[in-house]
Amino acid sequence: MTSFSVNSRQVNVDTDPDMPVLWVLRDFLNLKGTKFGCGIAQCGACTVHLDGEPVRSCQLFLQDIEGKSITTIEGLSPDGSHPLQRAWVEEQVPQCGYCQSGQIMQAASLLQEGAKPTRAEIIRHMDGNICRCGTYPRILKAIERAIEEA
Amino acid sequence: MAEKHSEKALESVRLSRRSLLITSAWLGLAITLGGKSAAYASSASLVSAGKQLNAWVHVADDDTITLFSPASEMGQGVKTSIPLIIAEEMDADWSKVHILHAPSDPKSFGNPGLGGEQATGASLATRAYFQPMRLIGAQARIAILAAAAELLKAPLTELITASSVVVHPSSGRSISFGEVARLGSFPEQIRSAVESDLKDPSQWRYLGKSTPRVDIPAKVTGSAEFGIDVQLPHMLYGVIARPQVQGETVLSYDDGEARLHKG
Repeated sequence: MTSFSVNSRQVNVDTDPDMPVLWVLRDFLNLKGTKFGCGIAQCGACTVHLDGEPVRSCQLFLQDIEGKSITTIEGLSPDGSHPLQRAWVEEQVPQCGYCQSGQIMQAASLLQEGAKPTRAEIIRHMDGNICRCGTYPRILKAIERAIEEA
Repeated sequence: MAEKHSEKALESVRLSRRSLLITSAWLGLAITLGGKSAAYASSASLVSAGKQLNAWVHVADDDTITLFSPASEMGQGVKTSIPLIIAEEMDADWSKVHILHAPSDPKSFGNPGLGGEQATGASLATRAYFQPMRLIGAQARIAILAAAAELLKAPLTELITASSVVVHPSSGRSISFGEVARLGSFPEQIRSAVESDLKDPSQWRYLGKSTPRVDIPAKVTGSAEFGIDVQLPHMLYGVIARPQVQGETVLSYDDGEARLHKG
């Protein structure tokens, strides 16, 4: 039995300790917002926060998160009001949308107090999140907008 | 005034031979009041009373207009753009529009550019549905105007529509689409719209301008549902057994259990 918190809620999950957190979230906790893209930490679609820091949940295992706190896209805000989510809508970023949960979760750590990353720094930070639809220019615009407005 | 549009302006809308063929193929599919498809009946979210004007359009007593989107939304925007075409010619207030994915019902929702098949591809959604959706929207507007004329006891030709409201300018009276749906009577078969019922493009309020996409909010909160997210009762999972090394071949397999099942 592994105990941890997800989006500020304490949970217990009893399954194979080698189960990737991606599937713990999707199949055991019914949080479908985090997506499977590759399973080998090469695409970023599965990005969640572990104690506030972005990680690829396909390569994070149940036994590693005992007592820790996980935040998923569902927990970023109760109502889509996070500055990134608002900017994502204002800039009309998503096309198919499949990669976007991971993109937003990865971008969230750029919005720390007082942070003013350059465009190059934003790109380097977002480099591991790939988008087959090619929404990259709007992702950049939305991140810069959110940093400006936050 | 009410139903006339400039014939000259219509000429300036260049109808290619192909789009004319698409239009006439579409008109072969009957559009009847009361709707041919069971889509509305099966649609749990349509609980409010109102009137179904044709297979695509439902107007509720509370002014909500429900429109069906026939094509798969894959990020290309059709869930927004195709209903927007109906809303434009219907003269609906877009803020009152609620969109549902059409169920599988090619007779009602098939793509005329794909031989009536209800599929999405070949960049043929917006192009092939464009003119038919204008006619669908115009047909809904015709039905509303006719019912409103009775309710307002005003001549049809003196009525105009403006953003989900029917107005009789000479008396200053008006009635919302929702009230028309609630109080009005609609015949079994309203006439199909024709080219001259359509707005001149210069009168478009929505078409030709950017409209925020309706599918985007769910995509930024993780609540948009993809195929991989669907969970059904007693769902089973199939996985392909692959060799560890490239070039290996199957030596044997036991399909006895599988053969016992139909299919």
